[in-house]
Amino acid sequence: MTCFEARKEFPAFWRRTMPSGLRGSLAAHLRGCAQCDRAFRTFALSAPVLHSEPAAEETPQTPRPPLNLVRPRRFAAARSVPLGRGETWRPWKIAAAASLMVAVGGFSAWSSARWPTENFADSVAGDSVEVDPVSYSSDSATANPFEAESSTFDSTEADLSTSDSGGVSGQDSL
Amino acid sequence: MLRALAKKRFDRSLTARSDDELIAAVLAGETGEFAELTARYRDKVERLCKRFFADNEMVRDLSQESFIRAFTGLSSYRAEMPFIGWLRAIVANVCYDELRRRQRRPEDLVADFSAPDRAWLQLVNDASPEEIVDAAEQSRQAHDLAHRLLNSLRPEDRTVMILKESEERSVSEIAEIMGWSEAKVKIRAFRARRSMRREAERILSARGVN
Repeated sequence: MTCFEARKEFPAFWRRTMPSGLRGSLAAHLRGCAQCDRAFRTFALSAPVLHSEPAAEETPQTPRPPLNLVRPRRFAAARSVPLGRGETWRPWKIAAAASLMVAVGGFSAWSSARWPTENFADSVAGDSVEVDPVSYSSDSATANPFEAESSTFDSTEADLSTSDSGGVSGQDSL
Repeated sequence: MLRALAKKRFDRSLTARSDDELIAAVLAGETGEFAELTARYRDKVERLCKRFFADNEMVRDLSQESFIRAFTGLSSYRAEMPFIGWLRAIVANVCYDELRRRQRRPEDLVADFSAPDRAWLQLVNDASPEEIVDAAEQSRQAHDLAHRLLNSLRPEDRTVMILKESEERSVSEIAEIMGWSEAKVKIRAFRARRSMRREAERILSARGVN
């Protein structure tokens, strides 16, 4: 048996599908050829997956689930699972949910009675922010905004009337 | 009891419908008949998935996805080829897609050998070929380590290795199944074998038993 022939028979040797005579000659070749012996050992590392029958998954006593019950993998996370047929809310679940709702409602009522919350207007009014009216006036009119307005008017009129009758105020000319 | 079972089996053999008849019925609207096809080929589909993945739940999920794809694409099936061949192509593509989806950094095989791993490697290194074959049948580590070795390959290389070595498909068949050129299949097969051999040599030489 040549090295080429021997290596070609590795899968059959692994699966035990070759005649015993050929099997013996292959074993003899591997004993005498160091390179083929090494090649067989590297082959043996992947052969349990590539050249063996996959192992049975379960024992016969444990029946496999029907195919339509196997959970879809990709969409399982993105899907909300509704209650299916046969799945019902049990009484203890209903009682637990109701008592939880009562507890939450009671706590919120008790807390609102103990700490009454102010409405928005009250809370704004309660803020004692002192506003200085002076800070809203312009530089030219410090005390009375109407005074500032009239002085501005006067000055404009004064400018206009200066050319006509020098020194006479606008109101007088009108 | 036995007589009743034998009669039931006999009746079923008389009424068993061929794949093509079942497919025609499904396409005509009797979608329930697809369950018969599923039951008929479920083991073969799962066996092929197990070549790709060690996790049983993953294998079940991928089998289911393969059947769903087959059902939705049943109208594209042509009767020139056997149904199982068409189904196998779907399974191979589903598993390949999953390999690509979960592609990650190849794990360092040499770094983390457990004690049973080391025992298996010791046996592979020292025992006779007959003893190795006998021991591999009962060894869980042999199976796990082989999967880890295959995990070190790229998805394309791994798919080609499985189809070529396990399923014994020809280059042209693999090219047709995967939709690749024959040259690509040949290159992938060559590279896969080379990198598997290198990795296996590396494991055996640095097997951590000393």
